[in-house]
Amino acid sequence: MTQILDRNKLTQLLQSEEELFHRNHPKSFDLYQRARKSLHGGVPMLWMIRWAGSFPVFVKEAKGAHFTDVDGNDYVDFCLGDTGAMTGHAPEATVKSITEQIQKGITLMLPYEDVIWVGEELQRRFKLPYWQFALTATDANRFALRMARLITGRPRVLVFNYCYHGSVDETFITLDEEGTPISRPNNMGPQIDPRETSKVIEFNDIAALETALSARDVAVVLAEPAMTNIGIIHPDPGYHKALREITRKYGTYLIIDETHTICTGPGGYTASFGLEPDFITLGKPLAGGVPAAIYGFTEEVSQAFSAKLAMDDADVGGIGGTLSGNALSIAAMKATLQHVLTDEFYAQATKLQEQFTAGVEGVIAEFSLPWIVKRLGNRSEYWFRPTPPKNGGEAHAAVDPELDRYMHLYALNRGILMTPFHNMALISPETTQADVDHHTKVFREAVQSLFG
Amino acid sequence: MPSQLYQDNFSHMTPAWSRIFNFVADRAEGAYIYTDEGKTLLDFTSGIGVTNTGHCHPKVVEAIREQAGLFLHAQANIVIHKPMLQLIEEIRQIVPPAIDSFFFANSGAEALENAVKIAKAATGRPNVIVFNGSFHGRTHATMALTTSKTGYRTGFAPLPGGIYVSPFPYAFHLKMSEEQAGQYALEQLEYLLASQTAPRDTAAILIESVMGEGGYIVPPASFMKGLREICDRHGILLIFDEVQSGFGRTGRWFALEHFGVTPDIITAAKGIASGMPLSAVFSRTDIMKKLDVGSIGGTYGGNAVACAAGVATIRAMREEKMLENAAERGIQLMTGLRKLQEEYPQIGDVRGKGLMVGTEFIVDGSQARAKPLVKEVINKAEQKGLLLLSCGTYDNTLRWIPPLNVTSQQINDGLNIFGEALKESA
Repeated sequence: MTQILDRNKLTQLLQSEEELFHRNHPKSFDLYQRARKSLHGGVPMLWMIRWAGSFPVFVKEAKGAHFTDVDGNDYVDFCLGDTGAMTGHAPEATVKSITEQIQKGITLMLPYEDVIWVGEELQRRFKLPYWQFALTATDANRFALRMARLITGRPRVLVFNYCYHGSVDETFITLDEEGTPISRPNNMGPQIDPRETSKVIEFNDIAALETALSARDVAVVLAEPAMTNIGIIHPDPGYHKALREITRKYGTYLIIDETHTICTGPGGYTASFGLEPDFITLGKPLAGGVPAAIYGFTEEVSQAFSAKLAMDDADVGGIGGTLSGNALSIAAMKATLQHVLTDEFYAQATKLQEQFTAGVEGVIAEFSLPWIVKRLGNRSEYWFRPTPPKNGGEAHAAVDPELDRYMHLYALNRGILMTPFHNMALISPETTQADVDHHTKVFREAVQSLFG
Repeated sequence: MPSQLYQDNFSHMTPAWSRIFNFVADRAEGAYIYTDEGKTLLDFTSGIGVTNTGHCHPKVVEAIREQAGLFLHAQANIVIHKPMLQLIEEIRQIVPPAIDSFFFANSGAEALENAVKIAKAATGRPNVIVFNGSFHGRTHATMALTTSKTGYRTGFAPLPGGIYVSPFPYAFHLKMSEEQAGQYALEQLEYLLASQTAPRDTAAILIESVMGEGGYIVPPASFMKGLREICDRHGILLIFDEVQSGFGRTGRWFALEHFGVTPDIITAAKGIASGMPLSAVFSRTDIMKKLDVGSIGGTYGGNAVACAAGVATIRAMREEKMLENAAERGIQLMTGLRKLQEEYPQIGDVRGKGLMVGTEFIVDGSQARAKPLVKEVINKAEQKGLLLLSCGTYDNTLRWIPPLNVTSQQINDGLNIFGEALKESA
């Protein structure tokens, strides 16, 4: 038997959680009031205005899997900077390397020897021969898209409905309820209607993929190997095989964006599941939180790119970034890959994530909730529908902002930070069983408050 | 475990009352009903399309409390009370400008009784034409006007005479396009006027602006315009029964706005006062003037507390933009239902306007054979916390009547439960 969610009660509970949040965060509130006078919306980055609780928590310091705020509250951090700090906050090896490098120069637009170690390590992990650096995964994606269009001479990009690739313009396209491509609602000031640059289909829809690519005007498919930002959506069995075969059949390149799915394993989803992309892009945790991103590609891409590249104008062709590959981020990346994002870390974090998931599943079963929890490596999240969504459209239809907000704020008020704006949790090298148990307990209490 | 109160008294309620659900309700708020056993139910029946502002809307409750302390029974023949004047002022702003004379009663059936009396008196003609599948009430005259089910009239003959029945433009059932069905129904009406009730014997053509009990069917605008044209040609009065479709239900104040047709008489009830017993006949002064003074009325009609609730209802709908919400949520609901229709071929038709939405089920090409399935879906949905009603001659259509301030999430909650109930039943 399913229990109906009483939204009258939810509204009341949410209100009392917001009051509790205000009571427990007076200093954050004061800082927020001050910030509003110099920062747009009182926050350094636009999305931060959406945090549950009506103003953001100001951080005092963070270490490992915990942080404390300016009011002295301690939190288990399952958000971990939405993967940017999946390494745990301020990992020792990375901090040591940064501290050493910072004495020896930060950015020169010339390489240090360490960058070669990083290139070789990326080769080993991801099985692609050639690598380039950027500062954000958005840029890595943008550069890979440019390369693909340059080489193929084709104008368009194919993405999946409700995909996430940072703020890449070409990806702000969705399907409406009738399945017609539209500019994503609230796409802010696009320079061109994305329907002119992009095609969009549902994930796991092989027939739509074949139709979209058969016109042979698509340079590249930009794909997350499993969708993440609309909740985790796993590929159907055989989907990646079909994706690769169909892209090859129509001469379309395939970029696998591992920025979120690096939670799967040391070589991302690509290595764990033996994918064969033409490009890989990745950012977020690579340098322990220091801005760094990479994009890698095949021998074939490398040669085709060289053939099209006018060396004299390499600096003004739209691919680059003055600070890309700077010594600080390379040093941070080297230490992080060598000492933090190791095979041992993934084995241990994935195991602990299984405990986290089991805790949530136990509560869902106890209360017969029509909810599910989905896991990918050391990442999981719960979603308010009874069966796993097959694609972004299905997942989006189940988004429940009020419930999301309540579950998030209930946890925050009890010392747990979940990833907004859905309830996602990541395990860091320093997350403990006690942290996971605390979440299970608080999650159960939140459910009890709604359905008890 | 049923309470002692229930055990002692339930068996003394007349068994002639049909009963869809068997819980004892403690209270209700917004879109939810709370049972005495602690269960929460998402109410998409709105007490048969009555609580359009949601259960116990705070502004309506406050208006009732306030008026109850001032004057409970301000009998309309004896005193003129302010809530009725205020209600007239509010209604005048939401009906077509030509409609300028108002009469109040207590129930929908009473409004229909009076509408027919007014039409007869104003025209001096004896007959009324209604449409197949109509529901207008359970009193003697309204039984005669009702053709949705034999169950409403069997065993009660003789009923008042002078009622003639013409086909409703029920496109899905007629297997026609809406325009074709409208054309067909107009031709049949002309035939009726030529064969059975002559225009000079016909006082009124009476139609539900959106058919309710008969199956939640929206007539095409061309058909409604055709009715207006026939009535004008023959001096017949056009009566729109807006008892169920009125007061925001279809995303407009009255469903007539969808057709661009102004009738001569409008009947209203249900949503008018958010649950307080109140009904009304709206017409024109030139028509109403033809009645003898005292020929219509009633002790309780236009009760002051009910009128105060009516005023608060209209104001709350306007202030909280409930009509706009009803239109948007209606599209969301119908889109969701049409998605389910792709999965479940038993859903033959999804139709409606605003939050007056029907899903008609068909099993093996038959309406009658779909009845048990609809019943099972309703039962399963109730177990899962969602209340739905059926309608149609064969009870094979589910009607969706959420409050007009239902949220997008509540529509999703309802669709999810309906989907699960379908999965278990179909």
